[in-house]
Amino acid sequence: MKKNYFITLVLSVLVVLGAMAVFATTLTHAVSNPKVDPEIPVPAKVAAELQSASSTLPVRLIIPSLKINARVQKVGISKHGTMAVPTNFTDVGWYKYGAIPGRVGNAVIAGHLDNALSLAGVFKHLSSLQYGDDVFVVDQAGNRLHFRVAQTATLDDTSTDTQTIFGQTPKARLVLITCEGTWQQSRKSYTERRIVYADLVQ
Amino acid sequence: MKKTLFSLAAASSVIALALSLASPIYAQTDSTGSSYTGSSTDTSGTTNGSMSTSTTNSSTSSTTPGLPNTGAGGDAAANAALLLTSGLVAIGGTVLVARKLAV
Repeated sequence: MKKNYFITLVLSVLVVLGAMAVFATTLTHAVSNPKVDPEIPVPAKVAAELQSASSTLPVRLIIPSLKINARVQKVGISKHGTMAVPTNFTDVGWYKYGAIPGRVGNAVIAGHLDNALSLAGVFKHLSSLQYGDDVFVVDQAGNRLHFRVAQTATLDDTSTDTQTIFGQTPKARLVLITCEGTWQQSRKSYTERRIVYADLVQ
Repeated sequence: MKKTLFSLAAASSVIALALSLASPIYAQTDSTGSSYTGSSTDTSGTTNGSMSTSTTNSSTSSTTPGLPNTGAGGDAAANAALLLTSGLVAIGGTVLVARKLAV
């Protein structure tokens, strides 16, 4: 009798603890901590270059019209060959193998549209940006680089034509990316990407 | 009373097990078997998981990855259900344990 009582009690406590763990993990990951693909390790050469340019690396992205003032993470390439994404829904991710903001080339910054409970991510309203809107990037040294939106576009999520985003350009250009379209359960991805191009204001 | 407790504990165990199996759906994941976009013109390319790129701070970088997956909202319904179920099990279980200890 006493044994049965003890077993039931232990089982019940275990179940409660398990349910609490599931609840906490789900809540944390859905709201603030997306499960992202592991990144390919940074090659030593690139790491050294990043280190030497550390004072010019971006630390904050500011978009006054959208009330965005986000921390910038440095992201690379996921194991699946896509640009990696920030590890939370409030930061943005700068593609560290591309150009540094303010220098010639495409500096690509991605941010989440929403989290896994459909609450707003940092770039929820990116599609509202219009031609001429201001975008600022603050670097590690505290310099504030001023960009102005020049063009917006959408791209299919399966598009392989990513040269306009990650490829070469003679301008110092900032490219902002987020998801758009409808959710595809099978791919766990939205159907489109919103791309905003902003040019450096001299 | 004890029989009821046993039944509840058994049912809760089954639910908890199901929940722990379902838990990876909470956020953005890459689906298996999906195709990935992007290409690389870097001759050194990707070898055994280590990527080589030409440079980081100019326009000469030649690696073009696929588009980032920056959304997870489509999983909201499943995650909400998971939260609700695990929350109910946790609360119900706590009440059960409290009552048992009080007896």
